[in-house]
Amino acid sequence: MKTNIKKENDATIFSLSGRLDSNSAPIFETELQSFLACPGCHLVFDFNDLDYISSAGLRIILNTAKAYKNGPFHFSTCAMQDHVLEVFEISGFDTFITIHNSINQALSNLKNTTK
Amino acid sequence: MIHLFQIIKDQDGLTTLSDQLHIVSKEWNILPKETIQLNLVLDELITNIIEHGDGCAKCPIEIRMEKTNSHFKIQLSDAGPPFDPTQSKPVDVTLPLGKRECGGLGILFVRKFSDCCSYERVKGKNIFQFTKNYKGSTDCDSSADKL
Repeated sequence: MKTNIKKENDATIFSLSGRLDSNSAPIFETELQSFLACPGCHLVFDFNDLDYISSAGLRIILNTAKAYKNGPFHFSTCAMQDHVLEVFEISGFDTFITIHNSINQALSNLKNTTK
Repeated sequence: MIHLFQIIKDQDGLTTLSDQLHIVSKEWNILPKETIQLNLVLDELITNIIEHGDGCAKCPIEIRMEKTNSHFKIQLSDAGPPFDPTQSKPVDVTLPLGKRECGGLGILFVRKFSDCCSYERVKGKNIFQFTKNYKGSTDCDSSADKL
């Protein structure tokens, strides 16, 4: 899996591509460490190029949602392929994680929420 | 049609798995969605075996895939400590974020994306078998139980 990290306004965007499984999860978790220890900006996971996710990847998503649960910064996800969305829904993650259709929608939503 | 392969525990087993599924999905004309679901079920089972199977880092996990007229029948066998995935409790997906824990999603996916599962311990080996009906089929192998 490859991760591209960029800042846009007061949000950090992680664009994930490839496969997020028990091989790649520990690397992703290390990259995220500083964001989870002390959230200092909004966080968006862009899944547009993510082809596959297993429970090992979902565990990190869950920990991320927990780290951002009490605010003030927001965590959201966007642009999931259908089968990635399906495992999110089966896991019940769609009930507590915001899923946007596109990165543009995620960013504009953040802009509106934080006005 | 039968396809056999091995996962060696101390190597990159998940890459081997996706490579093998790529080959078999082409040979057997498996739909992309079904291939991903088979990959996820096998990934979760293999990851469990590797994480819970103490010792014997080089012991292989033997995987046998069969395509019948109605379903795929897949068997995993390994010589690790006894471990019956059918006894694992899946996570309660209705719990709110604050009460959610990390475990239990793997077995949830195994149950969701397979049709019949069975486990037995035979001659020092864990034998886990599952079937998955493919499009247009609703059969369930009578030798395995629906979870």
